[in-house]
Amino acid sequence: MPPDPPIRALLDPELLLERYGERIYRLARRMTNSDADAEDAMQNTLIKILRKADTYRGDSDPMGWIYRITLNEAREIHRRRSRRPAVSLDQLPIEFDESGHALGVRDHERRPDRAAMATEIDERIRAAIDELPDGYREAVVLHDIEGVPYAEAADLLELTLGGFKTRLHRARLHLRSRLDALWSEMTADGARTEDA
Amino acid sequence: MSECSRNLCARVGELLLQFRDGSLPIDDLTFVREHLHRCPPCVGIFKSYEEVVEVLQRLQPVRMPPGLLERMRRKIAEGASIEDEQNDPDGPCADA
Ligand SMILES: [Zn+2]
Repeated sequence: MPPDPPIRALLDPELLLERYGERIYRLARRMTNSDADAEDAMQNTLIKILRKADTYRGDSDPMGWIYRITLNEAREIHRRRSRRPAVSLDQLPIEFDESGHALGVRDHERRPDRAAMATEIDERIRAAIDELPDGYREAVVLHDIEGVPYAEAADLLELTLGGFKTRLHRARLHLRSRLDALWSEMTADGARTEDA
Repeated sequence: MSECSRNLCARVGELLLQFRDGSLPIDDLTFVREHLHRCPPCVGIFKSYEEVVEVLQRLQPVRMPPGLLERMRRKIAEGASIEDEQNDPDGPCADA
């Protein structure tokens, strides 16, 4: 029997949910950092896919096409519901002291146990991702979390490879500074406990 | 002159992604290696940069909430997207 043409799964709600439902939800959830927003984004994505399926021209895996629609819907919902403006990443997110030394170095050996803090680290990073500008958040979610290779992720975001890497890098540096702040808090807490 | 001048550290900061993924041209690679060799603050930044990528790759997995697919089936059957509901509060007769 010949394999199903990909468009069949784009026209049939049951096949669409079965084959792509989980990946659509996962991406929407990562992009919005909210259960309710992810569901809304997923709902819009599914309806848009079913409405636009006959415009899909590819003859291979439509995941890229589906990802693109999911990103757009998630971005729309996130924009509408975001409470805070995104951070600015125009400057390199590294700070320097007056003598020109880079700041933000913590003593790695003395850090609290990472395994014990997994949930806290997770929450802090997800909040930091949430405050990134749209394109930066998308770069981190696609490549670092979902494992989409550079070239494909750049293509999805309509960027050159270099442009994509720059965006991903700035986003990582921002997350780095947020994680570093968490370590500082922990070290300060630890020092206070030791003093007491 | 300080070996860790702001410009050098900033330049290294710009190159960390390519340094990490092994895509730096040889001149830049030599520059970053030599700089890291004598600039502990930049080593710290690089270590924490690596750490962020690791944390991202190990984030707790997203699981679909119970009943999600059923709710989606229902919404698809109703055929209404959130956008339509919000942009079209007066119903199908409202014209743009
Ligand atoms: Zn340096």
